[in-house]
Amino acid sequence: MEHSLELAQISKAFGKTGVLSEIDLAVQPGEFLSLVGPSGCGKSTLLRIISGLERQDAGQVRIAGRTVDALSPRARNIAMVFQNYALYPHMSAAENIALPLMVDRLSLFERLPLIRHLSPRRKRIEAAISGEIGKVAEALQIEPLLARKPGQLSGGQRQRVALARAMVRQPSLFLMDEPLSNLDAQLRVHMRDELTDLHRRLGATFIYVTHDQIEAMTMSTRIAMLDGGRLAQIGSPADLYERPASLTVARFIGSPAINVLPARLDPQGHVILGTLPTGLVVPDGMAGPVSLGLRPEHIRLHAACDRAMPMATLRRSEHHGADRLLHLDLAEDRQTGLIVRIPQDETGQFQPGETYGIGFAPEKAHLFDASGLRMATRTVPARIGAAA
Amino acid sequence: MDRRATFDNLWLAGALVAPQILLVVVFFYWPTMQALYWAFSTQPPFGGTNQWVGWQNFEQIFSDAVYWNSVRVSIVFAILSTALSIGMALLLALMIDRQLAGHKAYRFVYFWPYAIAAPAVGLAFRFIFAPDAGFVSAINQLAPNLWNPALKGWDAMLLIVIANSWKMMAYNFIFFLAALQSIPRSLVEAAAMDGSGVLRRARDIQIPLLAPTLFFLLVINITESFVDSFGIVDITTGGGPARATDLMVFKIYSDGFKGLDYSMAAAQSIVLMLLVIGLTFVQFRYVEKRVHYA
Repeated sequence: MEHSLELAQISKAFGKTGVLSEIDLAVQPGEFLSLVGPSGCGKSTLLRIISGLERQDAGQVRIAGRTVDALSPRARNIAMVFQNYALYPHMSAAENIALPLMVDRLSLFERLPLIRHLSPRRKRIEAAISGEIGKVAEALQIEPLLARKPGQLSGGQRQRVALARAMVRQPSLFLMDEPLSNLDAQLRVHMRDELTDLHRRLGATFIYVTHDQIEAMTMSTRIAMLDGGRLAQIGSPADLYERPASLTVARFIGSPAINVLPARLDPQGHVILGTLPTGLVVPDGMAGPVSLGLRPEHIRLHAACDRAMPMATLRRSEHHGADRLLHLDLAEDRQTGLIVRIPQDETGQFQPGETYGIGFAPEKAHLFDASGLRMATRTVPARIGAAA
Repeated sequence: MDRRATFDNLWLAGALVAPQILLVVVFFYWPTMQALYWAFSTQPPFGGTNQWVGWQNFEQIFSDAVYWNSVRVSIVFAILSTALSIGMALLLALMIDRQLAGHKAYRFVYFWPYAIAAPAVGLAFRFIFAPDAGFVSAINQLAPNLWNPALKGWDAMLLIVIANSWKMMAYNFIFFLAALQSIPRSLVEAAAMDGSGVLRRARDIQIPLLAPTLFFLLVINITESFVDSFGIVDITTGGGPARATDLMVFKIYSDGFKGLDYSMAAAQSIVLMLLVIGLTFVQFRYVEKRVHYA
């Protein structure tokens, strides 16, 4: 099947500052692909290159199998929803939604005052357009708002009008630039739901830029994470969470963030945390410092004081509804904080100020080399907290 | 909290505002009062104090065909030069806003004409459009006497319209450019995504959002063309040929200082003053109703 969008070796620099380097990306029709990354990673620039608002320095953009590098935004047949919605303030919601169709179907003369009455086909076209606006408005439930100007709409309503304006042309590709970032928390969760639903109903391809990993995790079929202008990882939300390709990805995806503990490899390739072997082995690994990543829910605390475990002191315990987050300080160096997620019914046994042993299943741990890249590991029987 | 500064010492307060009050009185209110006095009085032909004549001066100018001619000429001049200067300024500002090649240099250069005094502008255009020596003389070489502002009324009118718009265009350009740059970029980009080309973006998005600026400039340009066009007319056409460019403000000057009829000139300047006050009122009354961005 033809790719809905294909990027080949896209590079871009503003002056001497490199923003994107050699991005390769292929998006299947009907996918919901999120572009995530910390601010300044180039994700918005990439979206603007896809849209044609910005021109890449090198590389190719293909939409539906057609190279569009030489085409202006309007010839690419894509729609974009902007972060601030970019609704035209002097037009009503209906006029905003109608504009793409008006521009497409009527000539400049058919839209001039007085002169437009000379066109015999104008009335027919305008009737067809208002019919289509009605359909889109119905789908997004904004029919009562059509006569209002953007200034008279709330944030969520403006968001819907902006979506309607994007939908009305029935493009094959939707670009969205952090469309939910201006909404309050409650509305954001609601609109997340609506967007996912809309994506399912339209069956179109969505490219969605966000710096909010929760939006990316909950809505997308695939996530592409950018870091420093490079593609750090691309895969399903589960891939990024369970097999992060680098320390940056591991830290960005997941809330609360992954715990990263300094560890080292001994000459035999065993991963040593403090002075204790972890049960993780890197085949043909070089001795040296590494980072051990542990998701908060993969750490077990043990009240029994086993000497073969790293120790940590419980500093604070936070109520998070079904879960509880425990903040601990590692005993040997007080610099390293640790966050552990446990189910609410297990909380009674842990008291602030007490010291606990830390255990984890080695197959759940992530290991990264000194440059932050994921290392392949296998497990051996000797392990910390094996008793658990 | 009372943010106004208050003075307990009235003498000090009075002394501090005195220079400003003095300036305003000497240069604005005193001449205005004098003009009012002259407008309602007339000087005896053989000396002596002015005699009060009531509305007689006004009755005389309003029944004078030459005066009505100057009103008509002024209105034609105001409409033509405002349309030309605003149209050109808008076109240039839209192009500069697109950041075409060299836009920085042009942006700088386009403001210069406003810094040139009106008589200097007039002198330059008088040479440029001289029928026998200027660069327009090339046209006359092909079609003799096609262009001659010294003989043809409309040629003279066009000459002062072009000179005045050239000067005002610079002023309008700065306002348009500032207003264009305050339009959120994403609006123009959204229109580009929605399929609009450059012309349609200007017509659908940019010009409607410029409406408050456009209205402001319309009022300013009309006012300026009524009161500030003396220098250009005086240097280029001197009100001629056959009073074809005899603008109201120029007629006041020629009646008063050339014809030495202060009373008639004063009455005319009162009429012009009321006209400008009216325009200013319109501006303050309606410019408030501006387009609000969402």
